[in-house]
Amino acid sequence: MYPHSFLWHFLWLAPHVLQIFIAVIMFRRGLVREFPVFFIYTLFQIIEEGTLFVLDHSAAVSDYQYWYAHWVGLTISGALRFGIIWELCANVFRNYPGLRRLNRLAFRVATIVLLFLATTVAARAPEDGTYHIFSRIQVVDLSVNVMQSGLWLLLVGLSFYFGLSWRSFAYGIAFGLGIFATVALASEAARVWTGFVAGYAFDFVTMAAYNCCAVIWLTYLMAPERSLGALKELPENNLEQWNAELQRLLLQ
Amino acid sequence: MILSFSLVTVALAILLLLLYLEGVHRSPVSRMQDLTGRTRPVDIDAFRNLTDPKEDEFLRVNLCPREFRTIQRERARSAMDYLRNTTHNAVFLLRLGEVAAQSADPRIALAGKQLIESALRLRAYALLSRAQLYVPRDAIFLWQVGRQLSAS
Repeated sequence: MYPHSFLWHFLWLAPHVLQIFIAVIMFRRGLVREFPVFFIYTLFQIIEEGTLFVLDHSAAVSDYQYWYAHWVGLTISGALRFGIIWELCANVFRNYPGLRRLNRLAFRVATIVLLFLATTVAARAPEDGTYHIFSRIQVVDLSVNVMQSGLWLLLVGLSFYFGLSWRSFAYGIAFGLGIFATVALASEAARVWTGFVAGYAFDFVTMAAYNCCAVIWLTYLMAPERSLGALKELPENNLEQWNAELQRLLLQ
Repeated sequence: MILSFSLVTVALAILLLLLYLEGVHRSPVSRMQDLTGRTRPVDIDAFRNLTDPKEDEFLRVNLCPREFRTIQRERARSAMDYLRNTTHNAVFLLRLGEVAAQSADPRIALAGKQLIESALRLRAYALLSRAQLYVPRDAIFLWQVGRQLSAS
């Protein structure tokens, strides 16, 4: 494979070293039960990237073999990231039974629309003139990023509109993965349309974003949970009157 | 290339929303005192008047069509402002409801859960009501007339 610089190796390995700490802290604090998919994803990333690192430096492994291994890893980690979105949705909406149906409907519709959009993106993406498998990996990655970014946008948008509160670590996971999905989407889109040479520079951008992502997870994991104060009374409000008024307006 | 730019724009939108949420996440409301200076005044009677169909009908009969449309636009804008303020307040009440729902006192906990439900319902209704207020009444009226004509 290509002789990579020290910076390349650092950006590649550093987040996965941090992920070892994340996995250990999650296990110790009993967060595995609450975020099992994220825990599996963390472990998978450590193993996958460790394996790819060894394959990259082994003379016995050809380019094709490396890219096939990369492809398999990308597929599994992509599926796990979808799982994390689902896990966060369940975690955020658990305390709001009134929103469950709306949430389910919104996500079903969004998935169909995003699937259509991702297929369109994949169909229109050009070949970059390198190995076919390499070119297709970028396109599949871009399509997955389109879907994941869309679902992030929906999850964050819905919870933003309804003013839902997140547990600190759940928010940390969403914040970290949201930033990664955002940067990955932008850089994959630019890479697919600009070709392989410029694409090499985007690797640094994506890897740097993943480093930020791991730092965010670790920071949120180590920060103490916000303690809620004790209330002795609730304020007077006329929410029910407003609800009746808005219902009247909608039925007009 | 247009597709590429659209994707980058979507990515930036997500990033900005996440950064904004980070700010919101760091300003919690957990005590009654936290509401001071954060809620906005709302007048439900004024809102009721602004969205009353009888009032619309009265104005339609007594004003020329041009004046009526101008007044209706202003009424819709004012109703929208009230709606914005009340949904803004609902978020803070939702936060207090969440704190109350964790209370050891079952009475407070129940009241907290009810407050959460009411606040969420209000935000959901407000979303649909906004759409209703944005669509001019004339358009709805014309659509209804068109439907009746096609049915006959």
